[in-house]
Amino acid sequence: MNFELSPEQQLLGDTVRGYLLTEHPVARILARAEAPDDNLDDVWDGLNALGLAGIAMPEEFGGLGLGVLDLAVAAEALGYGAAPGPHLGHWLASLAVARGGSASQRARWLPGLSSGATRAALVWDDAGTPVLGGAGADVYVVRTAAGFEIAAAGPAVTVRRRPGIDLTRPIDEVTIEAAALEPLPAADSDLAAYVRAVGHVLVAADAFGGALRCLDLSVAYAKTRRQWGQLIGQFQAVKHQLADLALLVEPGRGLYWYAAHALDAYRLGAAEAAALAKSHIADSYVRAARSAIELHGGFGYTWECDVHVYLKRALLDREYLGDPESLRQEIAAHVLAPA
Amino acid sequence: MDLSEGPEYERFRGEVRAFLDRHWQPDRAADDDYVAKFRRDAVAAGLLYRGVPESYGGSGQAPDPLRAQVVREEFGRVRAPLEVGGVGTALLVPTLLQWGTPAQREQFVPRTVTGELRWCQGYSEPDAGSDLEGLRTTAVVDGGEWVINGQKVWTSNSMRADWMFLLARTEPDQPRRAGLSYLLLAMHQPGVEVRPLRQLTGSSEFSEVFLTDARTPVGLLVGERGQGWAVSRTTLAAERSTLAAPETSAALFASLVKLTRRRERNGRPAIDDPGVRSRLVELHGWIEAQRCSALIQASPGARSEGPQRLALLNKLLHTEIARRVSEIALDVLGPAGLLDPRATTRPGDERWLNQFFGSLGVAIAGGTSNIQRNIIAERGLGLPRDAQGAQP
Repeated sequence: MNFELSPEQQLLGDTVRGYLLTEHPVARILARAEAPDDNLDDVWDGLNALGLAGIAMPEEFGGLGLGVLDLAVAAEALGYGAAPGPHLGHWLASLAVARGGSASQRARWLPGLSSGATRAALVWDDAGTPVLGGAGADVYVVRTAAGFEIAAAGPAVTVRRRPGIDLTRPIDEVTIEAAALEPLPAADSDLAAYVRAVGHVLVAADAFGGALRCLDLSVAYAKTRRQWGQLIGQFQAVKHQLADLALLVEPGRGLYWYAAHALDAYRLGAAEAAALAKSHIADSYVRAARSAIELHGGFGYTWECDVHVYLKRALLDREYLGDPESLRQEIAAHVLAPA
Repeated sequence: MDLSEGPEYERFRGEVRAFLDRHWQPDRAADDDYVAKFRRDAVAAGLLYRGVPESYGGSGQAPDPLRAQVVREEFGRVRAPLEVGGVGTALLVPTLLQWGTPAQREQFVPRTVTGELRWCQGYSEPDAGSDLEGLRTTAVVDGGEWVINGQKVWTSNSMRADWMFLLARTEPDQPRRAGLSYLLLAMHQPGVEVRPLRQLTGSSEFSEVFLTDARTPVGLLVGERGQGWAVSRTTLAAERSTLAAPETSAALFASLVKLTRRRERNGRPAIDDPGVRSRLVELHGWIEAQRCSALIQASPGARSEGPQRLALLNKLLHTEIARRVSEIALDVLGPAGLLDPRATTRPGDERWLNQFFGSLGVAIAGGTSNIQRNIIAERGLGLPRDAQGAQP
C-alpha cells in the first residue's frame, strides 16, 4: 500500500504551480481579468503547453492517457495559483466526448480537445448551474436525461455573459437550438454521473489548493507584519487562528486524493467519496478564505490583497455541481446505511 | 497510489485469521489465565508487541504500520485482546527501549508487557501543567538512592499503579528543562501517598500523589542527569500518536449512527431528521479526512514535510472529532442526557454522557488544545516563538 503521489504526479503539480506563481501572479491576473479586451489566451496556451488540456485524453488522440488523480493534482495547482480560464469545464466536457462519443465524433473532436486548440464547455443543466468559459468555447457538451449531446459553436448557440463574482473564471448562460445538437451515442446517465463525480473531485482539488494558498499567504503575512514592535505571528491569538486554519485545510488533501483514486480504481462508493470530498473541502475553503482575510487585517479587505480572489473562487467551488448541504443530504443514505 | 493490500499483506491477514481460529475462544475472554496465555501465544506468533525485542518479551518485528493495522483489525473483528493497555506499555516501554540501560529494560519491560507491573505517569504538578518545565518536585542523591519530595497531580490510575515514571528537578542550578531528570519510583512505600481526586464525572480515576522522602535506587535514573526533558518527549510523542487512532473514530461514528437510529425526535427516529443527517455526514467528512491523513502518514514517503505537518495535527483533529460526536449525541439524547450514567450498573443511552465528558478529557490530556496550537504554529508553520518561548 502507498497513499502518496507518484514522482510524476508530484512533478506535474509542482510544474503547474511554479508556472502560475512565476508567470501569472494573482495580482496581474486580476488586473488583466478586469481589462475589457484581454481574454488571457496566453495562460490557457501556456498551461496546455505543459500538457494540461489532454491529461486524461486517450493517447491515440494526442492526450496523456492519465486518470482522475492526475487531473486532480493539476486542479489543485490551478486552485493554488488562482489560475484563470476554463480548464475545469473543458476537462469534464472532454471526458464526456472521450467516453460517450462515436468513433467519428471522437476523431473529429479529441485531437483538438487534447491539445487545447479546441475549447469545450460543459452545459450541465438549465437550472442555473453556470457554464464555465461558455464564451470562447468551440464546442458545447450538454447533459440530457439520456446522457450527453454535443454542438459546435455557431449561430445556433447563444451565450450570455453573467456578471460573475469570480473574475478568474467567468460564467455564462448558454442556450442551443435543439436542431444543432447531436447525441453522444455511447453516453448514458451512468456516464453523466461519472462526469459529475469527476467534477466533484476536481472542484475539491481546486478548493484544497486555494485553501492551502490562503493558509500559506496568512502564514507569510504573519511573519512580516509588525505591530506593537513585534511580528504578529508571535502573538498567540494569531498563532492559534493559524493553527486552526491548518487543521481546517490540511487534512482535506487525503480526502480528495482518496476520491480521485477511488474513481480511477472503480472502488465501490467512489461517487459518494467524491461528493463527500467536495462538500467538506469546498465548505472549508470558504471558511479558510474568510479566516485568511481576517488574519490580514485592514489590508485583507482591500482589492490589493490577493485573498479576496480566493474567497470568490471559494464561492464558485462551493456552489458548482452541488452545494455542501445538498450533497450531504444526497449521500446521507449511503454514509448512514447499517454496516 | 495503490490502496490494495498487495499479496504480502493479504497473506499476512490470512495468517492472523488462522492464528485467531486456532488460539482464540471468545467465550473465555473473562478468564485472566487464558487471556495471558493467548497474549504469550500472540507474541510468539509475532503479532503483539511488535516493536519490543524478543529478549524483553516482545516479538521484535520490523516497524510496519500496515501489519500493525491488520492485527488491530483482525483482533478487533473477533474481540480478541490486544496489548495490555495503559501508560506502561504505551509510554514507558518505548522510552526504556530508547533510553534505558540493559538492566532497566530487563527489570521492567518483560513484566510490563504482560501487565504484571502497572504504571502511572508523574509529570503534572499543581503549578506545572502545560508549563511542565516549571515543575518543582526535587530529587537529591543520598547514598545509593534518590530522595524525592514534591507533589504530582491529575495522575491517572495511580491508585492501582505499582510504579511511577516521573520528572523531578535534580540540577537546581540549571534553568528550567535542563534541571530535570527522569526517574522510576516504586509506589508501594511509606514516602508515597495517593489521594484520589474526584473528576467532574463524579468518579475517581486520577489522584494527587504526595512524595515525602520517597526513595528509589540511583540505578533507576533513565538517561543522564538533566536529560529528563528529552527522555520524556519520547513518551509524549508516543502518547499523541496513540490518542489519534482513526479506528476509534470509525467505531464511535458507527455507535453514534446507531444511537440516532434508536432515539426519537419529533415522533420519528432521529436519523430521519434532515438536520441530524447533515451533521452526521459533515462529521463523517472529518473522520474520513482523519483516516486518509493516517494513510498518508503510514505511507513509505511519510518522512517528507507534508506528512510531518499532518502528524502535528493528529491530536487536535481527534479532539475536534470527539467534540463534534459529543454535540450530536447530546442533541439526540434529549432528556436522557439529564441522567447520571453512574447511577445504575446498566445505564441506558445516558452512557453517552461518558463520551460527552470524555471528549473534554481528550482536549486536555497529553497536551491541551492550546498547547497543540502553539506546537502546530511554531513547529508546523514556522512561526516565531512568543515572548515566553516556552514551547516543547
